[in-house]
Amino acid sequence: MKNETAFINNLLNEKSRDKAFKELLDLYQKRLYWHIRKIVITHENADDVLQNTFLRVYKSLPNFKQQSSLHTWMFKIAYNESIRFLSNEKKKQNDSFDDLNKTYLNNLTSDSFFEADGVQFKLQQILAALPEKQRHIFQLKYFDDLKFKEMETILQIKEGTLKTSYYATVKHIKENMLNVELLSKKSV
Amino acid sequence: MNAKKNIDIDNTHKNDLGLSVPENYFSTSKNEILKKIALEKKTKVIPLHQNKFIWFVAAGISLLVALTVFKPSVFTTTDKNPSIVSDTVNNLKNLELVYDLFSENQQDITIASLFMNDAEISNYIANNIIEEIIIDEQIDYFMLETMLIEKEKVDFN
Repeated sequence: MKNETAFINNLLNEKSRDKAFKELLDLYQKRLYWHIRKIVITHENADDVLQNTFLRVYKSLPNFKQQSSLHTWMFKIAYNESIRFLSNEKKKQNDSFDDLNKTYLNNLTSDSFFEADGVQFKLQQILAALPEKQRHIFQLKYFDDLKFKEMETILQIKEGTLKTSYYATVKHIKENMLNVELLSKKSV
Repeated sequence: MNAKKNIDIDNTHKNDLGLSVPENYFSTSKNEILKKIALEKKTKVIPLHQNKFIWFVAAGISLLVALTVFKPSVFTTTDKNPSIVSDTVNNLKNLELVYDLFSENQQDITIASLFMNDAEISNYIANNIIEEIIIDEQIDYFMLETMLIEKEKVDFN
């Protein structure tokens, strides 16, 4: 954004807040939706969390101290809302750790807005098998296109650890996807 | 972010992960969010610090707790000739006063305490009452010291 300072001032000013908030919604709605969707899996859940996220953003705007960029702050709120949602769901379902991967795939396949071919399904299977935090690191970098520095603030994990985890995950996915492609070529 | 990049995000998630959204979802969702925010603004609860009655009662509870637990002698009248007898009488009076205050207001306090959360009460005590007690103690100590000095002067003369 060219003039972020002016935009933030409009958001902080009570008189101009509502108009600026609509712009903020236009700018971030899709990005935050997809960020949330990959964490909470189904469209229905993502819709709920997205609404809660923007509601929280609106309520928290007067307290925005500009210690991070607006972009990082928005993603941090969305990430925290998603994690809060997941932990509430886990409490409700009383899941054990072993069941989490199964839950990920079950939720995914039960969602009517998920339709995958062989390769897409394989990628989702690989992602489902990753530890939750490692999966989030990969998603934030690869799909949400966030900088490692921003991820450090959002996830509260050191930049070096994030980089190591990300590159290890990319390698792991490549190796596994290659096997799928080789298998599918053989079967043809 | 421009419109092209927004379309790219949709395509990336569809092509790589097989994820999609209902038709017109984003415009519907935008309206829903704005509606919720408008509703939130209408039904905004009066902030706790603006509700003078609750604060007054909370201050009362905190003061009673502070007085009974930390310093029952806060109502002591200034006695220029302190003695064990007058101190004891004053302390007993104070205690009765505290009990009277408590029994008179007990009903109100019990009801009002339902509307207060524990953190608010302990914050109030931490920020105000404790500080007041410390200041009182300092004043008492200062007065005691002054009295001793004056007494020494009198004795010396």
